[in-house]
Amino acid sequence: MYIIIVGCGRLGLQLSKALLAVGHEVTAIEKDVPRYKVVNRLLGSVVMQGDGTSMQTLSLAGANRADLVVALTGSDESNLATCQLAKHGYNTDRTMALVKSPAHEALFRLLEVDTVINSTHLILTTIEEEVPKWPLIHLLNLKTHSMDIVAMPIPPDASIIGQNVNDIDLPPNSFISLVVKNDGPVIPKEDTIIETNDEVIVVTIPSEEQILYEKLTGVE
Amino acid sequence: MQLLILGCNPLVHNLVPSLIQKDWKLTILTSSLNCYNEVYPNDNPKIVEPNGILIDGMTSAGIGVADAFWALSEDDNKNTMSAQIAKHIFNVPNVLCLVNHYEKLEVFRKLNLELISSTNIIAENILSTVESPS
Repeated sequence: MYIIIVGCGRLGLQLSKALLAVGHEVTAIEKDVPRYKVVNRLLGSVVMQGDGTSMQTLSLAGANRADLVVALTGSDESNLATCQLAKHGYNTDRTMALVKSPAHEALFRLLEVDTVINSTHLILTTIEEEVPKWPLIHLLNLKTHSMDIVAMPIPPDASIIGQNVNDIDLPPNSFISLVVKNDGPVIPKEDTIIETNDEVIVVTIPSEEQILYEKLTGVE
Repeated sequence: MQLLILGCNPLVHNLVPSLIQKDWKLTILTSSLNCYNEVYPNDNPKIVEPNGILIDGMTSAGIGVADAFWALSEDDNKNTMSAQIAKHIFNVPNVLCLVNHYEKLEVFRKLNLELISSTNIIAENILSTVESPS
């Protein structure tokens, strides 16, 4: 696979190394000259100096034959421009962009950036996984409809312990899609009862997360 | 007419007096603190400083109630992204976007943005001057 990476900060550098190590063809583009010199010493000729939002630079990098263009600069504006120029100027198959501000994520998805990496969301997910008292873990953000899939371990003192899944009063756009019990996952049926140590996987929307948390845990 | 302009440069400076004369309400989103040394009455144009997040800056500058948005900054990437925010997120009816690098024009035209290019305008002006009989 031929992959162009725009932005060779720490993330771009590590990603370039990892992709080269598994046999992909990579060109990395770095605009900042001092940083380019550093990365060039580490990666050699796969790095080129230039502006990844310039048609000339993308052309020199071979955007017209790239399978994937990954935009990883620190600027949301530049990352969007890179993806749009690659996709609509060079018919690049797939584009991927880092979004620093969560407020811009919806726009990137709307404008058909194929994969949007929300750095804030990723860090939040890691914190949620590492901090056991935080019960709502974001597993996946669904591209369409702005829905999230979240996991929630049910606390031992939750008010829904002993309740049938169908009787739980959930917010209107939230659905329990899986109940993970001690002996494995079960798809919720009419006779599925929530027990201590269960974990539920819920499809929900961001605006209902707080009320969902309160309904499932009984904590406000 | 409520107009939000992104950027503050000689182009905007030249536009503002005519727009005020037309009784348009102007807001200029710019981090350039000395954007307007001149004093205009009635807080028109109103200057709003961005907070580093483009969509948030546009929101606090009133994009939600704007009749028009013109992206006229020196930064093409900021212009194209803000114009698409105005068009697709806030459904602003009149969106205009300045693209300084002419090679990007074709691509962003495909995305149905109303574009202007200073390079093209100047080039056309020079050509018409050269070609017109003196």
